[in-house]
Amino acid sequence: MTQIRSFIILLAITFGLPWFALILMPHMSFKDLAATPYSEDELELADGSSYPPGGAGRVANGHAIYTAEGCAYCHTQMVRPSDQLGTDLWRDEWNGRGLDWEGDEGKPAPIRTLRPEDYLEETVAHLGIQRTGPDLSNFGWRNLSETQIHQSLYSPRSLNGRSNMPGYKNLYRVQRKGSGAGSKALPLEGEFAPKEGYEVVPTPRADALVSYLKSLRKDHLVPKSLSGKGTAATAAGDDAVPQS
Amino acid sequence: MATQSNIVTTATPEEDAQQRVAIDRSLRIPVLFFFISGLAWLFVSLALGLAASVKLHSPDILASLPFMTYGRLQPAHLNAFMYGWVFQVGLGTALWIMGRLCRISLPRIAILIVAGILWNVGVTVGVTGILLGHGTSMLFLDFPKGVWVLMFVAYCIIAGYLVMMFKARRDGHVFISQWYILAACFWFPWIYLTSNLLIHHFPSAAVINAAIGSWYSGTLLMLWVVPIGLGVTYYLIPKVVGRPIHSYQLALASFWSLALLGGWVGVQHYMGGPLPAWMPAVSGAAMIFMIVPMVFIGINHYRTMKGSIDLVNYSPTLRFVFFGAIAFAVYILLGAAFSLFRFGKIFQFSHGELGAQMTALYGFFTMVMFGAIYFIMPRLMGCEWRSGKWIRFHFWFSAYGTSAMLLCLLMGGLFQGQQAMAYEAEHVLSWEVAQGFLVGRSIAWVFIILSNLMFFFHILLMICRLGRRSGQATYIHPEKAAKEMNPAQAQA
Repeated sequence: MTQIRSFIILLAITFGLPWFALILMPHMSFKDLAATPYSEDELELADGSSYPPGGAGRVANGHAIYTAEGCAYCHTQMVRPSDQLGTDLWRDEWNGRGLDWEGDEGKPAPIRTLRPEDYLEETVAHLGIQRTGPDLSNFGWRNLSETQIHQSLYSPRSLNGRSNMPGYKNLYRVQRKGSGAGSKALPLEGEFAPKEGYEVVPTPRADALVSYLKSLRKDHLVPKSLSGKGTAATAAGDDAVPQS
Repeated sequence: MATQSNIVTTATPEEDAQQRVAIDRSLRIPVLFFFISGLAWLFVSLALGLAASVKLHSPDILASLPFMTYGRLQPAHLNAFMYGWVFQVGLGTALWIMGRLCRISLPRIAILIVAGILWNVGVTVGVTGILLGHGTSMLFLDFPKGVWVLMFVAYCIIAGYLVMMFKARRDGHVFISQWYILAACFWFPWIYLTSNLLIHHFPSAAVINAAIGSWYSGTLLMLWVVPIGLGVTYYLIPKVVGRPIHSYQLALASFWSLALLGGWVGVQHYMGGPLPAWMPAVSGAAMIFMIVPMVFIGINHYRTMKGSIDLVNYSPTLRFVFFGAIAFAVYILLGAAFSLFRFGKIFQFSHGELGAQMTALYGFFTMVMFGAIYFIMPRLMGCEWRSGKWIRFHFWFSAYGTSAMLLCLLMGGLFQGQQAMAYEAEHVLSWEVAQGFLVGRSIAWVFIILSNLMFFFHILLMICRLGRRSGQATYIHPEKAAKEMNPAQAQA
C-alpha cells in the first residue's frame, strides 16, 4: 500500500506543478483584468473613454453565434508578432488598407501586436484552431458594408468566386417579396438569387453576428499607464522587416 | 524485481490457464460493451470526418442543411472520435489488461455498464449538440456546457473501478502497463475538471480561458491518449514475443519523464499570441523535451522485440502495435518540430497541425487498439479470427490511409504556411495551393473507411461467435507461419 501511496503522491507533485504554475497562477492573476481609463491627454486620440472601449449586448450575442457555428475551426483572431513568427502584421489585406494600398512603403501596418485586454469583452477568446480562412482580429477595419458582410455569410461565392467558406443559410430567411424587412434584402444575382418573387433577409442572429464581426478591432490606443514606454502606440510595436 | 513477464505465479500451468479463462469470462460483458459502443462511435466519427474533409474543399455540397458546415462537422467528428471511440476502446482494453495483470475476476459489473451507458449518453448529447449549433469552439471541449458533468461522473466511476481492481490484485507485482493505466485514471479527471470549471464556471480573462482550452487539448493527448496507448503497447509486445520488457529502469525513466513533462504541453498552439510569452514558451519546451521519453520507449520496445522482429509478419497484434509505436515517434517529433519558431511559424494553424493530431489519434492510438482487439477478442469469445487475408486488408488500408492522410496534411500545411508568409499576395492563395492535398486527404479517408468496414464485418463475426473453432491463432500469412515459426513462438 505504501507503494501505491507514494506513486499517487509523486503523480500529484509532477502534475500539480504545471497545473498550478501554468494554469492556476495565470488564471488568478488575470481574473481581475479590467478596462483602463485613458488619461486626459490621450482622450482626444482614443475612440472611447477607456481601453478597451467596451461593446454592446448585440456584440456578445454575435460572439455566441461565432462560437456555435465553429468559425474558429477556420478563422483565427490572432496576428503574430513579426520578429520571429511570420508576417501577419504586414498583411495590408487584413488591416483595412486593402491589397492595392500603396502609400507609406516599408512602414508597418497600422495594427499592433495584441494584448490580453483586447479580448476583454469576450468570454473565451477565439484565437483560432486553424487558419484556413483569413485572420479576423481586425475585421472591423476592413471597409465592408453590412450588406456585403451579410452577402458573404449567406453566399460567399457570390462575392468572391475563390472563397471556400460555407454559406450560413440557417442565419437567413427566404421570404416572399414585400413581406416586411425588405429593405435589408441581400442583392443576390444570377445563380445565387432565390427563385422569382422571393428575397433573402437576415435573421436577428445574422445581424448579431455581423455586429460582432464589425466590432473586431484590436488596434485601440494602449494607455501609457499600460504600455509602460510612454508612447501612445497606434502603430505596430515591432518594425522588424519580415524574413520571408 | 517486478518485470513485465507472464511467469510470475507459483500455480501450475493448468491452474493458471483455468484462472485466465475465469477472468476472461468475467470480463466479457463489460469489455465487449466498451468495444461495441466504441466501434459504433468510430463508424459515426469516420463518416463525420469524411463529410468534414469533403466539405473543406467542396463547401457547396448539401449546403442547405445547417449542420453540414465544416465548423460543425469537424468538431463533431473530432469529439465523437475522441470520446466515443478513443476513450471507450481505451477503457475496455484497460479493463481487460487490468483484470489479467491483477489476476482477478470482475465483481459487480453492473456498475461498469451503468457508467458506460452514462458516458455514451454524454457523447450522444454532446455530438448532437455540436451538430445542432451548441458547440463551444474549443478543441475537445466542444460539447455544450453542462455535458461535462455527466462525462466526468461516468469516467470517475470507471476509473475508480480500475483503481479498486488494482488494490485487490492477487500478487504484489506492479507492471509497467498498470502504472500507465492508473496514471491515466488519475490525470484525466484532474485536467477535465480543471478546464471545465475554470472556463465555464469561474472564467478569467478571455485569453486565459483560450490558453486553458489549448492546454486541455494538449494534455488530453499527452496524459490520456499517450499513456493508455503506451500501457497497452507495454503489455502486448512482451506477450507476443514471449519475453519480459528489456529494461525496467528505462521504462521507469520514460514513465516519470512523461509524467514530469506531460502537464506542461498544449499552450504552444498559441505561440505569438496575446498571452504572457512564457506560457507558450514553456509548453513548447516541454513538447521538445518529450523526445527524451519517446527515445527511451523506442529503445526499450526495440530491444524487447529484437530477434523476434519477424513476428511482425505473422502476428496481427504485433504488426498493428509496431505501426503504432512508429507513429508515436512521428507524432512526438512533429510536435517538437512545430514547437520551434522555425517550423512553428509555417505550421501554426495550418493543416499540418491537424495531421500531427490525427497521427497521434489514428496512427498511434487506434492502430495499437486494433492490435489489442486482435489479441483480446479470441480470448473473450473462445474462437479465432476468420481470415488472415481480411486482417491484412484491414492493416494495409489503415496503414496507407493514415500515412497518406499525414502526408497530405503535412505537405498541404507546408504549402499553406509558406504561402501565408507572402504578405503581399492575397491570403486566399494559401488555401488554393493546399487544395489538391485536401482532396488527397478525402481520398485517404475513403481508404480508412474501407479498411474499417472490413474490420467491422470481421469483428461482427467474432461477436456472433462465428470465428474459427481452433486452438491455432490466426496469422497474417498462415502458410508461411506454419512453415517458419517454431512451436514456442506459435503460442504467441
